[in-house]
Amino acid sequence: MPLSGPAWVSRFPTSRSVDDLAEPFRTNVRRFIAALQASGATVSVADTLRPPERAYLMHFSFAIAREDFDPALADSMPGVDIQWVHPDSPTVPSRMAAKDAAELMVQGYQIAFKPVLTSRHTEALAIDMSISWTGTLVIARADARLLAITATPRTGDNTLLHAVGASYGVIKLVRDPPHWSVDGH
Amino acid sequence: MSARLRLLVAAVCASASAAVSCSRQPSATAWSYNERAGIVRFGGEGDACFTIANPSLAFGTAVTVVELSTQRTLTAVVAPPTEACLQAANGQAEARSYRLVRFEGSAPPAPWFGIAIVRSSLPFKANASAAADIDGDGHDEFFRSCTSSEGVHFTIWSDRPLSGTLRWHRYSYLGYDVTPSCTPEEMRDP
Repeated sequence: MPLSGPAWVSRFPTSRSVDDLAEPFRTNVRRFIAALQASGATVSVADTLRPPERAYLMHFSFAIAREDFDPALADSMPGVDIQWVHPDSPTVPSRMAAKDAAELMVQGYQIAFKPVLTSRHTEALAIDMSISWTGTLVIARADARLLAITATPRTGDNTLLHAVGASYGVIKLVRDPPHWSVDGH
Repeated sequence: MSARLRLLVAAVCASASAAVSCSRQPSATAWSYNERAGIVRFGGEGDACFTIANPSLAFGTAVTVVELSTQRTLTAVVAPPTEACLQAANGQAEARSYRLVRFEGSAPPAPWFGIAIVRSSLPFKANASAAADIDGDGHDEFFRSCTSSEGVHFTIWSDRPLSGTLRWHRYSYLGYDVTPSCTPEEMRDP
């Protein structure tokens, strides 16, 4: 099995494609984005699917590097044949080698806070996107009725736009400005 | 205090013969949190990206940085942004991107976040929480961060964190999922 280290960072990349979302959320998101674009809004998609394998690698690399977690106790994950425990060498003890390798992964991923293992993103049920427009946004709800949004902000933080998203089954998580999901989590 | 009274106080304080205490009065130009406070993201490759709603910061301007996990303060100066810093500021309304260089002070292992205060010459009190009267109104300010599901909320409070007066709030997107730690008070604008 390949040892842990920075080579893992480029594997299991985060998707920016709506195609990688799970149905029926994928279709709902497509319809919502199409309505936004038809009304003249600018939509920029950041993250959609965050592979569970990536979350697993980020979670345990942070735990081993920054929380003194024993690499021998790290869970295994199907499809990720990483070896967290490093062999002893004449110059570097096994535990230190494992910690150093995990730290290089933390640096590569740019992790400042401990990542969680599961989320709506790992379930392909969330999308992060920035939305903006100028003037009045006249947008169709899912039932085709038009709504004119004159209130500010002219961004994804607009509460009237949150209601429009909800009509498509795309629910806003207010505490994270770019985040929309199947249930607001 | 009205703008007119503030100007009057400043004029009085500018006089060397003024027999009044001016140490607790605001300056003639209102202290702007938007223009003087911003977010620092110190990356794993040594880049310290600085995002602030101020398009006219001169390169070489001094800043004081509060590193939020340890509450230690460092000093640095403003420099032109790297491409990575410009990309990091994308999508943040009114944000302008810079880079910070010439850090002095001890910092934790990268990556880390901080709040930078522009041209703050005031001494920061180094207790459990960094504190300083950055706006000169006689009340100390406190600096905090907390996490939502996939971002960091930064706040500055007068008098006391969380229960004092909220002065400033910003959000920075992480791009990965974390355990939320914020209270509702830390996720709203002043």
